[in-house]
Amino acid sequence: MANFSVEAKKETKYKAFLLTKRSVEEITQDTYLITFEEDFDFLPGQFCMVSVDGAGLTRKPYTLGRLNNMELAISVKIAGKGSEYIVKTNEKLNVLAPLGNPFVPESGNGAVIVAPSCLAEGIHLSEHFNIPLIVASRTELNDKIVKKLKMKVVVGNEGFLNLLSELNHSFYDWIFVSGSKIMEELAVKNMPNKVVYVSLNEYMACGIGACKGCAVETIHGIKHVCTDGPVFRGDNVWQVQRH
Amino acid sequence: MASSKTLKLRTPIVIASGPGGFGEYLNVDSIDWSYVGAYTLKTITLHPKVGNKPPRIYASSVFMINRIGLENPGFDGLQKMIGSGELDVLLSKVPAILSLGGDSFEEYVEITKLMKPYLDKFLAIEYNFSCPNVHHGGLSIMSDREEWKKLLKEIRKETDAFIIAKLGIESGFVEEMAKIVALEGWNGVTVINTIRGLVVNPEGQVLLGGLSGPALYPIALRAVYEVRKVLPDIFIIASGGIYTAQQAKEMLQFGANAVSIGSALFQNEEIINKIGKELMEFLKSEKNNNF
Repeated sequence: MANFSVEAKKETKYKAFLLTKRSVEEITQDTYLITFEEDFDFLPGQFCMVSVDGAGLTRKPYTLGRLNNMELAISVKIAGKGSEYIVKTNEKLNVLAPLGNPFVPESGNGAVIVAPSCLAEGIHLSEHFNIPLIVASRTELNDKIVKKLKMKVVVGNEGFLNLLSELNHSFYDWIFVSGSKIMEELAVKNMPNKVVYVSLNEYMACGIGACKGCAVETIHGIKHVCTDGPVFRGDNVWQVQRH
Repeated sequence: MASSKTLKLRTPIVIASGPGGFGEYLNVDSIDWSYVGAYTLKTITLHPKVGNKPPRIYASSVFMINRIGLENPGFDGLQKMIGSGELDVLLSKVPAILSLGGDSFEEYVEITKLMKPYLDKFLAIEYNFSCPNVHHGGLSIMSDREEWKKLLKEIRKETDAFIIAKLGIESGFVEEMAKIVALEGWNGVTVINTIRGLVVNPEGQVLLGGLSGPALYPIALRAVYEVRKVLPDIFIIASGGIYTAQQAKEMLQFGANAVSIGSALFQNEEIINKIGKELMEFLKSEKNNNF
């Protein structure tokens, strides 16, 4: 059994970076891929907290990613004033990073499934581990981004459930899933033959383990997304009926 | 009356108990700690607490609500943290204030006794009599006024440390509560704590928790004003919705000895530097600056 938190190396020093947007591309009608001019070191699975200036009272958490193994990137779904500020502002963004534990999979073949809101992380994992990327979306993706990136896209609930069934009987040993909690739970419960890793998403305030706000219930009791995760083995979060 | 013991802070900025955890912000490299007079640890109770079930927090543009539930490792956990050196970085950089709580009269007294060997590491002890997120202790310990007075007396007997009562506004007029604290020989009060609130988050989940954030500021300022009016000598830490240097100045002008920064850390921890720089300049220009 892998460590609960899939922990490999824990950063204990967090830096605040001022990042200049290089590009903002539409992924779906409410979700955007943002790349930056500047860069910093981080490992797959880690996240950052983006300050929204006066548009909200808390920094917002986003999983970190890269394009072409180079450009620093995040994906942002507009869900309120804070995320809208992040997408639309022309100011530099104040970003606290890198946060959380890096993701280190067990050996074997893997694949990554992400929601559009986690596309940057998905691209990074796909390139870093040389594994296929699948985007599961409720709505169609923007054509430009589909043509630009090497990925499979499934749209709608039925397509997603069919994908899970297919992957459950595939040769892959592990699947990494990053998206909404409902999407992640469905993935864990519908792929009982596989080791499924999930990058959990919970309302956060500090992102560094101080406030204890991002608690999640797991089968091993309360854990915190920012310090115990953000990546967890799915069968440590939800009961899985093995067949 | 309040004992004559004084609390000399290097600056009047204090990190609030709760948001600052157990010193995790020392790992953020952008904070200038010379602006901080003291770092209040998260409340420690006699026994560990796992805290409340999620969701635990939600923020609007003017308030936050939290229902953490005093998650903490208990006295044994704190003892281990001290023994293992986990708090050394914090204690070497910023003077610390211990925050203690309990589920009962006996637990408050017991943890006070147990902490005695470690008190030389801390500037003061803040007693949490106002957390709205636990069923026992916290705010509810004040519901029996006579019992609470006995508890204040008992704690005062147990320790000669600089002791501060953290008071909310939901157990009677805060100045009346502060008068009781002073009469029992305590040294200070922190006013205020979060206020009980109910929020339905965008997922439709109900959060019964404590409100903090900018909405609290005028309430906290009034509390400071009222307490200072009746208690000219007690040490007051102002706490509640302080997000700007102007607000920090106002708190000092209306009688606070120090200002506590809590949920503002979540917006951007560099707020410490902004408030600190401006406040220091303000204090330098004030003739009666004690800092």
